Amino acid sequence: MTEDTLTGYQKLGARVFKPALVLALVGAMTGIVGWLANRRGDVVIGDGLMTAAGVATGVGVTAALFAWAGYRVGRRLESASGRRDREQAARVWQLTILPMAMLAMTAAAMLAAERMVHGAADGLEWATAAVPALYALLLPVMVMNWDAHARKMRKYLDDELIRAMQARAIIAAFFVLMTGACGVYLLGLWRADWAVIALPAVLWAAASTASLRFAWLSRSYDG
Amino acid sequence: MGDARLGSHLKEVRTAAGLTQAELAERAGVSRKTINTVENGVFTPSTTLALLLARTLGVTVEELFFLQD
Repeated sequence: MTEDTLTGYQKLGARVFKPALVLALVGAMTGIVGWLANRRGDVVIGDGLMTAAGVATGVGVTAALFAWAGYRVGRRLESASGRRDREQAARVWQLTILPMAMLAMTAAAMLAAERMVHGAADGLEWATAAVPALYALLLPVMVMNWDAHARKMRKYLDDELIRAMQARAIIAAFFVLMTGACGVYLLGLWRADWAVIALPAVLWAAASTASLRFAWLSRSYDG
Repeated sequence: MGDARLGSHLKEVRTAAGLTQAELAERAGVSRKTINTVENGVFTPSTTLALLLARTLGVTVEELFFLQD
């Protein structure tokens, strides 16, 4: 990782953070207007405004989180010695921030799944509900360094300690996944629709466990 | 990941060689974190890594690691 890349992380973070917060704020205010319109009886306008507000707030908060992480990772990487340590520190930051960003998508997926199981879904809701299936795989793939970037950087991202941390992270995630799957199965015996709605949360919890456990181990081994 | 039976002189040998953790890591082709965890007994290195560290420091593996009583 070059100095230009490091400076780029910091510059991009500083440039994006404020506009992202403004977008989130505008989204929140639009949500209030939509809610007021709903109360006045303008259901179509109110629902439209609230949907737009949800998307704007979600995008704004996610972008702000990434910008903040980018700024922090730039500063953190400056203090890391050697390219191997820099690449590994950058990966740990990605694995820390992604689960938080995906939490908003999980909530949206659960709401979409709820509407789907009650027979009121459109194309957008199908897509929203399907997203957890993608990131449930993305996070463990990133933990294991199987993604395209990590494969290119294998020389820097793969060593004995990393492999030991990967094993511990995936074991923890597997335990969370099995516990969650058993819970959802039992829930499904009682209320099948609730089980479908709960699945994105289980997938998020398991994927995030892998990601955050790896990041936690890495940070705890920083001396 | 660590093994309480494994003792290590890595820190002493490294400092005697006048190397920082980062310098040893760079020479051995591992992360500084790996050196740190091996020195603190948090991580037990494989035979390959132990040999690599010994070769980098110009000592034998037995001079770096030993079994505690």
